[in-house]
Amino acid sequence: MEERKLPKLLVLSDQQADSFYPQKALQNHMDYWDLYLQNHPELKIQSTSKVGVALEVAYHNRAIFMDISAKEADHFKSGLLILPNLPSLKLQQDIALLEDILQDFSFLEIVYNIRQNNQGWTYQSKISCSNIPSFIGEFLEDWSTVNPSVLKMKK
Amino acid sequence: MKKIDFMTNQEYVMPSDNNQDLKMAIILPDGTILMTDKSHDDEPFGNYGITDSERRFITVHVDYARVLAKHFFLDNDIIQEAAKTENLYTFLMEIVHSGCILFNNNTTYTGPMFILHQKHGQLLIPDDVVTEEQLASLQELEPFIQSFRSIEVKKFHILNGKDEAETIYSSGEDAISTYLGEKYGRKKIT
Repeated sequence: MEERKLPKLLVLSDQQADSFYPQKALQNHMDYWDLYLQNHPELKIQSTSKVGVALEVAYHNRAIFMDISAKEADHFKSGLLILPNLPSLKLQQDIALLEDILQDFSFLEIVYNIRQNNQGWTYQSKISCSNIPSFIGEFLEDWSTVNPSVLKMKK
Repeated sequence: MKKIDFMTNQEYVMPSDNNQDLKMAIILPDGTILMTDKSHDDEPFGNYGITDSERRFITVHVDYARVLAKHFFLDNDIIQEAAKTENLYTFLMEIVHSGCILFNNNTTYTGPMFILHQKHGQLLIPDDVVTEEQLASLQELEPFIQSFRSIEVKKFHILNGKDEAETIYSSGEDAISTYLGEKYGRKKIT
């Protein structure tokens, strides 16, 4: 079976989905972020680290997925899913579609409740090392209880 | 507290010129610190009794994990299997599940990223089960991480069998004292 190609970086907003697939010419996540930020100068991102940029972009009401699999062991796919604090129902529905594309993953950290204070960024997260699709499904089911801004989605 | 270089299984001695960054450190529940620095980068695997058909030199975290698993956590099947199969995240999480504090240097040392971002690390703490001995040892790690520009401090809680974490970013200078301040502050209240 042909291996499904997964994005290295995926940014979901209410209007669009920006996917950046692995390219040999790009070495690290910041190279992928540079591509995204070139098209979105209005975000005025200040951070210089991959997670810092991701948190800042998520603060602009976008959901972000990053494939953080180690190059030397990419048979264990690992991901970071960063969720905005005020997602629309449309965005929540788009995030739910990730359940399917992340079924080959063996590690996922879901970041939510992002805050910024004078020290820097803080956030909460849930982490799973197994059965990622059901982990995402259960998280989305509970998301409305940990974030009142999230509407309970009807199955 | 006892400090052991887990690459050599001998007492850890800070390099005399102190120019080697800490690579990884694990604080066991009894306060013992298993640690090593970057001085082992690019050394042949053969020096550590490990044969690998694809990689000959120690370069990435999972290489260090393999050497660590050869000497420690021998009765933890998850750690042994994760090290063998190079499943780094499961390896790191199981260290935390075992009640250990973990420091992980995840700096990108090459290219413009280093100029922009400098040194970055993670401190993973099993906050619900951390011992007084571990908190004392954590203070001893402070000199080793002070030069890091940012530390991602993750306080783990196992709720309903699942991992939840609260993460704060801090400078290397403040990371440990901020965590300990919160911890002791909370203890005074209760």
